[in-house]
Amino acid sequence: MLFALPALAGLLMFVAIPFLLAIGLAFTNLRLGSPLPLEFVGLTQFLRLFADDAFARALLNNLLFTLVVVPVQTLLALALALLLNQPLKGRALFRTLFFMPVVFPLALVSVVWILIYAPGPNGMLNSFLQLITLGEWQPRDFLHDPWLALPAIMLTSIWQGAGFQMVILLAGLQSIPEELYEAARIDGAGRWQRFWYITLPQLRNTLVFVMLVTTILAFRLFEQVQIMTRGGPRHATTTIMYEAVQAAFSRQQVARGAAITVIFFLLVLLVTLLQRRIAREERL
Amino acid sequence: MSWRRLVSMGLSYAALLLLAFLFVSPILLMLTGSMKADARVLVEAGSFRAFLPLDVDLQNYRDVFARVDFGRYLFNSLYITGMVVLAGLVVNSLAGYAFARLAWRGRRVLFGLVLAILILPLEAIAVPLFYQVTLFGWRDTYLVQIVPFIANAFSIYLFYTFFLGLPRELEEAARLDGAGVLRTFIAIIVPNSKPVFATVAILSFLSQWGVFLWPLMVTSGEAVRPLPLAIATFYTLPPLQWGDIFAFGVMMVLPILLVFLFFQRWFIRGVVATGIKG
Amino acid sequence: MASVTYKQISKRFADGTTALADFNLQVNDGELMVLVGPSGCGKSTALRLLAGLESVSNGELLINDAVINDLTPQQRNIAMVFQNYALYPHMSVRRNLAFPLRMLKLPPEEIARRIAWAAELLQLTELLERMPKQLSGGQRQRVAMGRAIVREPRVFLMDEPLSNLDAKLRVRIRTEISALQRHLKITTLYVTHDQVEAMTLGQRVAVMNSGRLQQVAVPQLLYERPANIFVAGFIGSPGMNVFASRLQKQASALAFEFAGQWLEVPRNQRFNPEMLAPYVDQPVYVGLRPEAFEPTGSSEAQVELTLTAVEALGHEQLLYFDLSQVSAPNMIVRLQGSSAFTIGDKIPLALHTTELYLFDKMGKAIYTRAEKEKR
Repeated sequence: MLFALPALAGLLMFVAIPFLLAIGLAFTNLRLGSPLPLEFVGLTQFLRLFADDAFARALLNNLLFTLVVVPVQTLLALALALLLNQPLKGRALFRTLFFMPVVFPLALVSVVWILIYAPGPNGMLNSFLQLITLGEWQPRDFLHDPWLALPAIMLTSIWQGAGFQMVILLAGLQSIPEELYEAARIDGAGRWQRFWYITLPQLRNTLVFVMLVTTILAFRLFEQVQIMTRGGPRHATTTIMYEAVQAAFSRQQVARGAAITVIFFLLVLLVTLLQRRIAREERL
Repeated sequence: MSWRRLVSMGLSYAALLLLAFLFVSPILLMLTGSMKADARVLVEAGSFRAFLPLDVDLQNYRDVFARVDFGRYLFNSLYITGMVVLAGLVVNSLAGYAFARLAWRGRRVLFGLVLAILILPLEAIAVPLFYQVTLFGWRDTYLVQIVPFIANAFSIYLFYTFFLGLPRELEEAARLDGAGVLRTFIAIIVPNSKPVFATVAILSFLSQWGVFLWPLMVTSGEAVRPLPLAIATFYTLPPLQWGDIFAFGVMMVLPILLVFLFFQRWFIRGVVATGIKG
Repeated sequence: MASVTYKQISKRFADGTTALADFNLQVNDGELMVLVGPSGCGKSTALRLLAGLESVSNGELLINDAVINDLTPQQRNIAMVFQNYALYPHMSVRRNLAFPLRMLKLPPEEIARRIAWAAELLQLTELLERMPKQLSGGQRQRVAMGRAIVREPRVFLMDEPLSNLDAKLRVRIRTEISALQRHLKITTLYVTHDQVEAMTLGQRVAVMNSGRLQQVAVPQLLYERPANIFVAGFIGSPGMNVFASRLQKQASALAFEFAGQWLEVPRNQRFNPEMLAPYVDQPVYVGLRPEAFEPTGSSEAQVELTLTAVEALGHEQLLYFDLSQVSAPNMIVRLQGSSAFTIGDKIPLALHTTELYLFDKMGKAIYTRAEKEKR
């Protein structure tokens, strides 16, 4: 008990209490510097949120982001892991290269990618696309284009996150016993069948885990938006966390920010429970 | 070696090289850009010159130090991250051990709560926590960036699963040999748990080094702000000079890259040995 | 100098399982006592209770007549060799041996002296600077022994210390352990599931099953006078054949039923009609060791059985007979030498009924009073 005490005290003080506070504040009208007295206002904050177009757009954006980034990033990471799970020379070097973006702070990643997305024919991505389309591509201003800004942020995030998933999936692949593959070979299974009947089922728990983590990270999307687009153009890239921070800090609406974080928590909880369900089915 | 095998190996290498280029190009862009004259960075971004270190000029690096107090930010980041990582290793490993191996009342219930907290990201509590530390009068300090992040449910969980996997006989042997609980932990458990310590250290270093939202909320002065905030501000600081920004970026990522390369071996073993892979 | 006493010990785990019930055992000073039984019989629990790794639910544990229930493992001064040796992987052999001595806060010279002594005794001197990873299984086993003896503990516990070794090495180290124990004269409790190991190593052997002590005796007596069906079946390789049967009064003597025939109960020091009177016309069990048969012989008691399997071991053969119609799944007969048998043949077998054992319907062995006292 004594051993666990410092950690438990920390978690209580800086996680549990603030969380309860969040729930409490969400039902008030607290606004820093406001002359109005602190009042219990029931569900008002939530009702206002759901009537707000910007918040609805934030929810939609998070959903789109998750639906694209989670599968694409997972598949990419799986492909990388499978490539690196062969007896090739230079595996360790490639692994390090693919993991490198992970150690980049998101703030730095965002700044670097602003240059990659630079408008005009000199922009890196623009000229790359011109090169591979043999000049057909018309240069665009990615981060100020309502249709391209969110996909641009998605691409940045996939680049930054895939390496982490890859390392975990690689660990999962390497813990599949070699005998299973040997047995399958003797039973006449080809390469594709070995992947389908052995690798995938054995890797299932790992896959569920990395997808869960990526989903939660997708809901937390903030830095890229704050630095690359500031939620724009016209809310095209706003997210739940961006709205929460805007409310609580730019406009001092602490109660509204708290209400958003409560919704945020419920979404994360939902995803987690879903994952538990999937993982548990597997054990049966 | 059969033809089929040779072809499949060739394809694998081709795919790896292509992907590696895509993954590394933004980093190369930054590295070479940091050594070019500012004006040329943007102009050459669209050509292959973006990746070629045609000239090695450290002027941008000197400019960074001239324009902002980079040393200050670097110290802030190192200090905050170092404290969180070191204190976190101590506090969370002890808790993980208490949950995994010691018998005490309320252990199961409290561990259930820790697992519940696991899914609660900082963002979900950032606003009320901000309100709370404001009440404490902690704004604009190192303290506010360190203390709340020492205890970490995920780290506890990683330690917990790793310790569960250690052979129980080691501790029993130590107890029969006359070692107390704390001595057993320090002399027997810790030396045999390098992978999990490295994993937790890297993961908490990674997340702490990149931390952005929280210091953005709780700091306003430059004195205690860490690097990620600094680069975001530096980017908006006129005039927009990409060479300087990239020089800043290179210097900012160097420490964490070194940490990762140094601990990589242990980290990968830790991912296998702890519950991370699910 | 230490004797160990388990007095009415029981152990229930938090999940409700009972690992030990009413366990009484006295281990004399300097004695090597082997606890043997199938897995889950409670033998390891008995050891762990004495070590202080588990707490006693009921009863008293004594060392030299002093109750030790509430002492911590450190205070009990007991050493243990674990099944997987539990060598500290990050310490050299020397530091492994030094660890318990450093915990005792002995002066460095004394630590060095004792390590030198133990290393010499166990032929570890050359290996002192190696790490456990660099040692073979047998060497690790010796280091584990060394770590236990350097402390000069009051009691020495060994939990299946040979089960991770190959068969040849097991036999060699078994004799080494026996010699070492006689040399050091430290009271030792040795746990194993292997009855051959128990019989060869134990000065006395305690047979356990389902958390209960079945019989404590010197090895020979366990074989010759098993207290119940469990001990009879467990000791010996293979163990005793036991069949459901009945006793009947016949003209000249009592008879028991075996494979559809009535055979005479011998009159010897174990049995006499007076003591068997209460069991007449009652269900009983008869036991016959695999050694109690011969292929056709001079004996009057003969049966003919169908052979179902043969295992040839070179110097002897094990014959398996299907007795399912009689009530036991099969019967094993051990014969010296090797002769050709064909599976499916009917083999005539002669029984040495002098080797007969009888058990009551609860499984308890039936002996004359004189025999009981011998036990």
